[in-house]
Amino acid sequence: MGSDASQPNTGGDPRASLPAHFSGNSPVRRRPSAAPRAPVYAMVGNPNCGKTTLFNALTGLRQKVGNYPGVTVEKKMGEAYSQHGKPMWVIDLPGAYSLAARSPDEAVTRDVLLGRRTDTPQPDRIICVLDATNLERNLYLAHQILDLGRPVIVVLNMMDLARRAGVAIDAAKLEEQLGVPVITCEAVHNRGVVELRIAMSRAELPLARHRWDVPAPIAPAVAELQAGLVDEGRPPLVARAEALLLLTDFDTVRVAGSTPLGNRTASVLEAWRRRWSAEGTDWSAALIKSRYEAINVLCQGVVDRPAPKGLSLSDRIDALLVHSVWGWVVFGVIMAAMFLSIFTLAEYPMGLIEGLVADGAGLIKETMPPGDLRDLLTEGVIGGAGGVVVFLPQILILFLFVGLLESTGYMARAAFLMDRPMSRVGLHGRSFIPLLGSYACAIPGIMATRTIENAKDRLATILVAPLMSCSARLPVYLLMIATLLPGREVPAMTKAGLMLLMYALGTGGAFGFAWLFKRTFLRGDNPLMILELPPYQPPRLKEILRQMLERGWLFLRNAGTIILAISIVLWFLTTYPKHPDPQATADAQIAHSFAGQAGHILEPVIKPLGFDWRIGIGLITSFAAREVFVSSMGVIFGVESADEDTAPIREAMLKATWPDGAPLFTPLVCLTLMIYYVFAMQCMSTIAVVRRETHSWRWPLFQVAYMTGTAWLVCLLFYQAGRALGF
Amino acid sequence: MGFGEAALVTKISGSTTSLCLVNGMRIALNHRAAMSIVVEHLPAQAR
Repeated sequence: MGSDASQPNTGGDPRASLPAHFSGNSPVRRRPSAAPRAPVYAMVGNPNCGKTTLFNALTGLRQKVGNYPGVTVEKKMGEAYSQHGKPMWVIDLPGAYSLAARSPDEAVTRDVLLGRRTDTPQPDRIICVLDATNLERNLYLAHQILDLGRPVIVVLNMMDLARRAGVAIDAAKLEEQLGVPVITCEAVHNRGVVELRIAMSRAELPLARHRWDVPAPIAPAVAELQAGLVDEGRPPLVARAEALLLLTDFDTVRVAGSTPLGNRTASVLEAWRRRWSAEGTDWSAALIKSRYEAINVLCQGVVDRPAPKGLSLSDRIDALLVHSVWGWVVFGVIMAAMFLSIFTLAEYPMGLIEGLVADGAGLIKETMPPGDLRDLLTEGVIGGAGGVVVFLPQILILFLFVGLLESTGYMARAAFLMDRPMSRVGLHGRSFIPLLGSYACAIPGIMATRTIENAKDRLATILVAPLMSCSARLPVYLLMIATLLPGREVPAMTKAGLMLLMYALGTGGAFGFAWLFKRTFLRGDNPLMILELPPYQPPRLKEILRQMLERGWLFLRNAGTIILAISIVLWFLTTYPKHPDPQATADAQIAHSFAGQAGHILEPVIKPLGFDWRIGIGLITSFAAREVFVSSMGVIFGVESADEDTAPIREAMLKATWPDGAPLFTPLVCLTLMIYYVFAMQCMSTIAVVRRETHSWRWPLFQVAYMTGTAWLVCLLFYQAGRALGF
Repeated sequence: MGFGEAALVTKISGSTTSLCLVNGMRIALNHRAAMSIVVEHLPAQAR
């Protein structure tokens, strides 16, 4: 059985089988030199064992890595080259503890390995990455993979951490016992990658000689199911592995693209389960126990673990960071430091960018004759997109902190800490990692919910994730805080406190709605939480810097494409049709324009919140993306100040008034606007991702309705209460 | 998650939520997960 590099068993060029999304958002590197029938390698292993770091080292790609389980939730494919320059495809699969999938991300791994996916070639060879510090646990999955009868290369990663922990591993003996190549590796330091590449380049790879006997009472069921699956077209060893999986309790998670179980197999399975239930046989436990006994035998003489010596440094750090009181103090200090840094560290570079933007507009005004083209450049392009670019330093600082939290291993501790309050609203700590990730952007946060086993918990997390204040809200908050608290005399701590309040409001809203959903249409038991806490590691500054630059570039790209395009369209809509009176004020011109007419239609709905039609235009345009609100304000208020020097948006906004001369952006209105953006669903990309993850339009539409409805209601109550109190 | 049969489990901290060391791996268990684990005291000579 099995195949080799020159004769892959997928029957064709694997690139022909690439799913459409591989050529879209997924960063596949296409090189014209790739020969047909390049072998396909699958990279599998437990979560957080360093698969993606190794994948990046082999392919040269830059997939996101982090020191917590569940970073990779979707398969990624990249091209690598053998020692002889021949192309090979590598699939990076989500981490799994076992082939018996318990969550959608694990189901992707199981289905690709078993060839159940119609959109992905079945791998010819498997690279099984094991965390050397926890070999016994990691060998469970490896043991199941060896059963598949495919050529396997075992990679013992994190050998440096194992050595530091005093764990000695005899790799040669493990190789001898398994009968497959075993490579020792430190992917983070790029050690062992060449040896792996050499092993991958071998034309022939030996098949595992390790054998494991199925417990006798279960063997007849395995044989019968295997025969049925072979009849359905599975190769014999895959059929055996699948039969074993079907006999566990957990092989019920189905994901898009996987083929369903045949009727005959389903009825055989049901018959055996009924029989064992009647006899009182715990077949699932018997299978797991038997496999562990085999692993224990395998590890004898291979792993030498030192006797425990009480609490280690990591244990003592954990005792503080997850303490019921001190843990929260540390969490609060970290969050406060993050928001304070956003205001203090970013001040100088922000001023620099503001100056550059103003100089650019001034130069155009000096060199170009007055007219629509000049106005388009100064008010549409620079006033719109330039107004958003100013917030780049804050975005970079936010991602610096997120990167530090992810890289050091604190992220998982924060999830642990949050389990208690989250369990009160019906969620568990595992939901917190997607929610915490949503502080950066709701899209990866929603995708990270694939690690959640229970479908109702997963849906509840998806529904509330966009309430966590993402980085796109940051420019809106910053603009409103700058308008609300103008001048340098206001302490940065006050501004940071206000910002923290908005983040707390979003988090509180997310918890509140999760509580509501879990007690109504998503009712279910309080979930079990078992979360692996990764070892503490010094931050990988190079990786953090890379992620910061990537996010910064993404922000600039958005500013230069979507936001720029919307700004130009908005400029057109605020400029045309021209007012019949050429001497009309700028305010009268906008009121007469297409955008002004649309804003006036919306005004009766938003006036009770203290918003006028100009703010209404911003609310409409920022439905595409929240930060568009800032550029919209730049265009709208830039038009008003057309004859004046270009000023920062906040200064123009402070001059804005109602028709009766009362200021528009009062402190109460600024706060109300911030609250609106905390709750409102203003992101088309998130809506599209929720549609994809829930396979239905029902949930994204529900999300738009409940979030925007809440935003309107809360703002109404807040603004009217503020007015009643005399603000 | 793959706990070995002869796993050494050390409770490090926690009351409602527990943090344990299993086979050299730190795992966090919430109260319900912890309650579903059968714990037996080993006789002193077996430790």
